Amino acid sequence: MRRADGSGSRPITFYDLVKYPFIKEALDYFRSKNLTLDDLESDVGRKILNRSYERIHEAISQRKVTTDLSEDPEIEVLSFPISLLLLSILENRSLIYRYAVAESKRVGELLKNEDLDKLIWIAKNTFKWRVNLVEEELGDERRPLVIIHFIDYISHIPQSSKEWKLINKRLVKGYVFIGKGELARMLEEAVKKYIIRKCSERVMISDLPNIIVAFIERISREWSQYVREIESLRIIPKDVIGDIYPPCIKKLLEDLKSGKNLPHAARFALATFLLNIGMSVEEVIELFKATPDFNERIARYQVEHLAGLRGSRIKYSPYKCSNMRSLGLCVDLNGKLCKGIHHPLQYYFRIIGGKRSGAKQAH
Amino acid sequence: MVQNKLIEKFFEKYYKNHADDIVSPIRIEKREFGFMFFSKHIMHRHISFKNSLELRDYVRRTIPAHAYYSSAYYVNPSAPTMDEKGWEGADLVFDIDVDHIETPCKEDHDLWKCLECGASGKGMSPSKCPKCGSEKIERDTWICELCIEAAKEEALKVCDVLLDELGFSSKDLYLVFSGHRGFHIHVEEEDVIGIDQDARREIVDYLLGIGLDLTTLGYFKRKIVLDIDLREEGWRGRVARGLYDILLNCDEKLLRKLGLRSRDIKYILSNRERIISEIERVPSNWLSLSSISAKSLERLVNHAVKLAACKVDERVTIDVKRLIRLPGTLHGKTGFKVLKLSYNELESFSINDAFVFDMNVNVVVQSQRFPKRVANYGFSKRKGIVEVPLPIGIYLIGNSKEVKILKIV
Repeated sequence: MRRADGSGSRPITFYDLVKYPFIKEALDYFRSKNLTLDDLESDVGRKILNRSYERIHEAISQRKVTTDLSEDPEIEVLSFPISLLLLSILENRSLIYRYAVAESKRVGELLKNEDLDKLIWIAKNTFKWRVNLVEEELGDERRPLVIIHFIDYISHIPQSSKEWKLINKRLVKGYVFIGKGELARMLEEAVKKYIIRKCSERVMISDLPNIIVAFIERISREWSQYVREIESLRIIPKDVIGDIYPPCIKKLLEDLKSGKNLPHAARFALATFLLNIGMSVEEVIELFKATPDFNERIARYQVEHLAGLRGSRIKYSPYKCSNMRSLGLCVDLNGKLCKGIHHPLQYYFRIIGGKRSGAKQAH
Repeated sequence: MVQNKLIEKFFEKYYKNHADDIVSPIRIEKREFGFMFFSKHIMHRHISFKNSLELRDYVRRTIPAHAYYSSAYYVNPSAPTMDEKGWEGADLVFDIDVDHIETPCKEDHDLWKCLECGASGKGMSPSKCPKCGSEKIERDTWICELCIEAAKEEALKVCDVLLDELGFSSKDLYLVFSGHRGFHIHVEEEDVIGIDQDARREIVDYLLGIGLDLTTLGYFKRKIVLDIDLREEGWRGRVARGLYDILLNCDEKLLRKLGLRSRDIKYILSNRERIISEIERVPSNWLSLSSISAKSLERLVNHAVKLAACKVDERVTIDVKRLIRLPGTLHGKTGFKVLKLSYNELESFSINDAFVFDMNVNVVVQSQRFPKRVANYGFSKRKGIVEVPLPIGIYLIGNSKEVKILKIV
């Protein structure tokens, strides 16, 4: 195998800073501008702040962020770190999560179309991953392959599914073999984690300029209005979940609520479980509204299908425990919480049954 | 209590001269310590030390029955809650315990009894009573040299995966004999300290073989039976070699136990030579297995996966706030020393390396039941009064309330 690592000439242009304002080169550019908080009250500063607000606003209202190329590219680059600043002043975990998912989705879409060289450059220089391009000789042919250190790999697995499990990867001397699409997807995950980490850092600013305060109040208002709307739709009281749902389903519900993107198998497991314990199609769809890529038409079709209202008219059952295990969805592999349980529904009905008989005894 | 007092006396004498053997963990000031004492059955936690002198002095003064430290690093290790402690990272730890390994010697020294229905048996204890299904089972378990050998094998297997597949270097890891039923493997490499529980679960799943997708083995894909070479690296190679071993050594009894069809069993046993020689080719050819049913092949592969899996206790690896035995201290149930070993020292380790009390001193012990064999000692009598070397005597009274030391000879 021959190594052709990404340490060659820099494949980054100014346009890349606009698309990927989180990369090292973009942050260096931001730092070189020496912006102060007072600068944000100038005309250019207002433009930057306004664009920062738009990024967050779009994440709240549309669950996405659009790359804006119509405006001054410089403002586009500088608005990203200012968005992070606004979010860290706000200190709202779920809003941070919402923004991180939306912004990283935008990045993920763009990364898919980049050359491998650029992906490796970003992985190495921005995220300090141990990643390399290698060529494997297959007879006369040479096939490019990406290898990444397994610690970097397992720290950025975007979803729990069979395909991503380390055990199903070729792993030699600490390096995992992955494809280009997987590298792009992992970078998306890394951007999400970076945003969450950055926004969770405490910022100490004694004297916030009025204009920043105004923007922060505006975002805060929008978010709390959104939360109120969602909460009125929420069906399951939080304290009940802890009691009656098996740990795997509880985890999936938590992931769903925090806006994580669940893989197909996870959605299937969760939706069929909820339908089987008597939740209506409408109620299930409402819950799935929290997913970053929610599309009501598709969701409705799928949930109705699972409920047996369409197609084969078969009501689907959730996976049994052994399948949950293989799919990487089981969170109680040692059976500490699920002693003697073979099926998630069994857990639920056992607890419900126990509660009922307990109640009877009390009377 | 009297027997406990006796062990405590021996521990006191030992620590007086050997507290300096206690291995001070790296960055000791960031670790939480926990101790249990002979007089009380609760863990004293949230203790921290500035340096190894403080730690050794503490042990010398308090004579703990059991000593533990956190694999985690904290900002304030002695704070009472996790929030206040401030987690900064943790070593990567693997636990190998003979409880999880089937060994034939368990028949010689282990008993179990159901507290519900009274059913009982010899050997490896079931997790629930086979008669009444109750989980209330009383166990009388011991370790012997064969148990330690089995745990060693397993520990070496884990080390091989860590070195060959995960790429750690042998100087990044060390082992610890736990002082009782197994080994811990510690990885203190800088890169792994900060990884979260999800990432640790991924590593432990890799060792345990959880989530392995048979299609990645090329299992019955595109008319190829299996697409793995015997010499391949990683999981695929380990499964291939496991399968090869099964086919090479199996008899009818094993294949029946695995649930293969009779027709397939007959086919494998009568064509073994040809099957084996084809697998040995470069690259391996599994074609002659295409005559057996998919179900039978799957059962064979699943058994090969089981052989290739490392039997570690996943809870220990995933829990990043756990306390773990402190090397250089004594185990209160056995009197054996918790011993730090390098990767190269593991191979030659034997149980008497962990003895600290004088082999030349004998004690007279009495019991209603002696196992056939414990540690490296075989009993001539199964009950009554016998004279045994001091380290064995301490192990007997530490591990069982039935045994009494009558006098020291």
